[in-house]
Amino acid sequence: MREYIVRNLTDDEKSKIIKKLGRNPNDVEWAMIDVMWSEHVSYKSSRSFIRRFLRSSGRHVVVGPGQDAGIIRIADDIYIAFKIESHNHPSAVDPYGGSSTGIGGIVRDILSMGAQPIALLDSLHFGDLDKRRTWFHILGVVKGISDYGNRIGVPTVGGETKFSSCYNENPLVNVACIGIVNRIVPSVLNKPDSALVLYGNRTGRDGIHGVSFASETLDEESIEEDRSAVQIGDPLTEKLLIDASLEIFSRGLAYALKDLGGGGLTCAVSEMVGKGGVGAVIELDRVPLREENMRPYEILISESQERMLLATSYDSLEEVISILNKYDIQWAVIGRSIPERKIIVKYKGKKIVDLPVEILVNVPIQRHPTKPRTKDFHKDLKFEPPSLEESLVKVLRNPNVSSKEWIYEQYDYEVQTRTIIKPGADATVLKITSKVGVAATLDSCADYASIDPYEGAKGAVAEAYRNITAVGGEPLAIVDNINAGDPNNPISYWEFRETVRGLGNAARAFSVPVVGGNVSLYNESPSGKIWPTLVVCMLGKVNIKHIMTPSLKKTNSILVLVGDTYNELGGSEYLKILGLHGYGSVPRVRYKKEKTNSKNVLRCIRKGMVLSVHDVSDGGIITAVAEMAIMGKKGIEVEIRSNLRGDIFAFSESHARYILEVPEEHVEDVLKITRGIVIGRTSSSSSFYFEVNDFCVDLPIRRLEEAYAIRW
Amino acid sequence: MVVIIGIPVYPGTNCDVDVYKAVKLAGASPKRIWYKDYKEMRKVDAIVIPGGFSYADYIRAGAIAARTKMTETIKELAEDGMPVLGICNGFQVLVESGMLPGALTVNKSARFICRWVYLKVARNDTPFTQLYDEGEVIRMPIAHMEGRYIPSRGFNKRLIVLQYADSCGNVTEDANPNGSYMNIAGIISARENVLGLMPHPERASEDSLGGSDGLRMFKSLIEYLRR
Repeated sequence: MREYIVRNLTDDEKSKIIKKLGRNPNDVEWAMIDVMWSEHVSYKSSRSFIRRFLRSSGRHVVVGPGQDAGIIRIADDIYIAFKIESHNHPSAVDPYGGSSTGIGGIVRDILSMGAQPIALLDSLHFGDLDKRRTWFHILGVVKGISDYGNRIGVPTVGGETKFSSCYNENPLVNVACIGIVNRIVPSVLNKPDSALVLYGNRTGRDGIHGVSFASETLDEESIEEDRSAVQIGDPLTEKLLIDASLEIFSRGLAYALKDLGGGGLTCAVSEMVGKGGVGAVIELDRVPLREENMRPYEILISESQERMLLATSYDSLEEVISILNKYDIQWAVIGRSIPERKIIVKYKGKKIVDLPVEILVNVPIQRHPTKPRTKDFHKDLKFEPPSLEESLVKVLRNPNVSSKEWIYEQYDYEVQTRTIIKPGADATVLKITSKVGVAATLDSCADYASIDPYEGAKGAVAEAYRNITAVGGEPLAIVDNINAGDPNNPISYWEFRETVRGLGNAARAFSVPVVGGNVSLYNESPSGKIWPTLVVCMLGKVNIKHIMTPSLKKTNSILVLVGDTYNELGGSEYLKILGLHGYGSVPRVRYKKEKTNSKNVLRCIRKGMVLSVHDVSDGGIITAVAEMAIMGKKGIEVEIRSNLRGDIFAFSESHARYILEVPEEHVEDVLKITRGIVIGRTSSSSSFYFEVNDFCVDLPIRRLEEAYAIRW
Repeated sequence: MVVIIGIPVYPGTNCDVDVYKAVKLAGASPKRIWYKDYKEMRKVDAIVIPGGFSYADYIRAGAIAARTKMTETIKELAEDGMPVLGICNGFQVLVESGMLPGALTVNKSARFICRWVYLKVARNDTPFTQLYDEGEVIRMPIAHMEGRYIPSRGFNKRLIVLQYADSCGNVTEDANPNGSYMNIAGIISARENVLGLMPHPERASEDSLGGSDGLRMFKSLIEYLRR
């Protein structure tokens, strides 16, 4: 019986490897090559499109893609690291373990850059709420984030939660982390003769084959069998790891640092030395183990959590060790870097691995055929509209729109005392200095992408851009997470390509560079594939003096609508409640309008001419106004005349639109700057009156609040 | 007079830096002390045990931290009369170590709750609340899983210092976020030098963060020590 079964390599790839190496790799070597050549680690199927469509340069960019996280400069001496990652497959089979280790992993990625983790955001996509399996996912994922995130003292400050039947078997858990960098620590090492220190948890058998599992589609068996591929999280060790690492950085003791994530020790060592132009010798006997009799390949590819690999000079070793001992953290000097471009592993006095670094880190690109999906939707959508009142209540109750307080109040969003704008607004704002803040948002538009992947991807970027604007932020940079189906399925692979293309074009048009990203393929199960889901994490810079929230502030102020409304109901919440998802044209991103409106809204905010701002997205104008009224507990009176049918105007989700609350005395100036229109005013009554053509809603705010604040 | 406030840091404590910032803002000189350096605690004027998840809340929240040399030292100092304030996990440590009566158990909802709440100041004759008015309604965030106060037999209601209330100061069931007995958010020791509370005053120490009612708690303590 063979010891290790290769899971990720095609026969063609295997013969390439044998040819390159000039011999047959042994079992341990196959195991190492196998994880490094997995989709999850190598991005072999996605790299060609990413290279072709994405640009990562810009004047704020300090570190672009390729390291553990991107870094941007937001002020003279303030550097921010951020990164996003998916933990979809683990969360599908073990929601609690999957989401908590997802948090642990992304936090260590930020730490690896020498940054102090200051905030977490997560984008969650679940199935239908009437399915038991969906509740298994929701309860586990939310509890996992809550238990792990809260314990490590990093606030979970925002994100999004969306629902669709396409995620019934395959929920998406994408987690982003933001950090403040004092001194950048690279994740690559270019110095030979450095000591390699492994610290944190002991290595066990958990998470073996984790990357392979993430590089295959889910099936019935995997849901039971692959639970052992999910790692087990230990937040206390993670917290100590953060504290100890920050102390190591502050004393300037790190040459390079890498967290052990997908692919375990193999990946950390290969990538650290591989990208830096050196090699390494590893003494496998020195790795602290959780259980006896682990085989060498298991030690090399285990994905046990809360482990870091530090490269330091032998002179600094004593100081590093004293810090680790202070925090009671397990450590071992497991090897050193060498000038030869080789990875050598020794075990029980024998050399068991001797591979050129290139074989591990230079994985050839894999190309697959693409096939455009046939357009099976009907642009000319015709239906009899129900009453506007009934539709509004239904849309507000719809879990995609309704308040997520029942989720985010399970997360500690206040720890570290930086959270100026709390969860529930368009974007979160974190205080960095007494003047400068960071605005952060996570957005996806999978419902548009389900109809048109290209417009959907652009839409996610546009929505993030508006959310940053709405809180008063200047959009700066993106990290992205693309979730798609099996690349061997030509339609899924086409959807993936369209998503990358949409992201790339939109990011370029908005001058917001993509400084890092993650790709999660194989999100398919026997019941189908997910919608191509691009999650955009965008950061912006804010002046703390000029920040905005969506809640209405005063009575008798004027409501101004900025931006044009088109007949764009495709993918909208309105059509979903009518059972018509899939019909109609999705909102088109109009770059010029989006940029101009953002610039103008920011101008009004900075001039102190507005009281509150909300971007228009899911549920259209009527929903945006309702949310503002509910949050601010103010009545409103709105009257609009439009060429569009009233319900279409109210619920269209056209991009580039904002609602501003403006004091009477600034209305003229605001209209001049934004070219917006007055749609109504706030009132001292407690009723919501919204009239558009011959459609009308007249309800007490309390009724809307009951629908919106539905708790699960 | 420079007032030195000691902030013990156990493995898993995560509000120590926030308390440090708030104490500094309130005008005292804070000192974070790692649990192994417990002897340093004898050199301070008062102690604030910060929140977090000491030892990841294994067994029960605060249970393991309560059995460390650090906590033993704090207990001795409290017995000698030193003021000790325990916030959130700090409150749990005070209860677990017997410095305060009763117990803190899992919230009625069985979920972690992070939320801004209103509190009624039931007593302003303590070292920690003297800058508030009696009956004043203040606002602070809570963030806990195990914050439901259960009294021990023969509980003395005089020990209640803070109660969850609505924005008008009515102590109602609706305003009780976790099911605490008598809406208790904070209690003081019989000797009136040890206060434990579940809400986080350090998170309400700046208006830009949502309010500054909490800062007065640290200012009260500092003023008390200076007198």
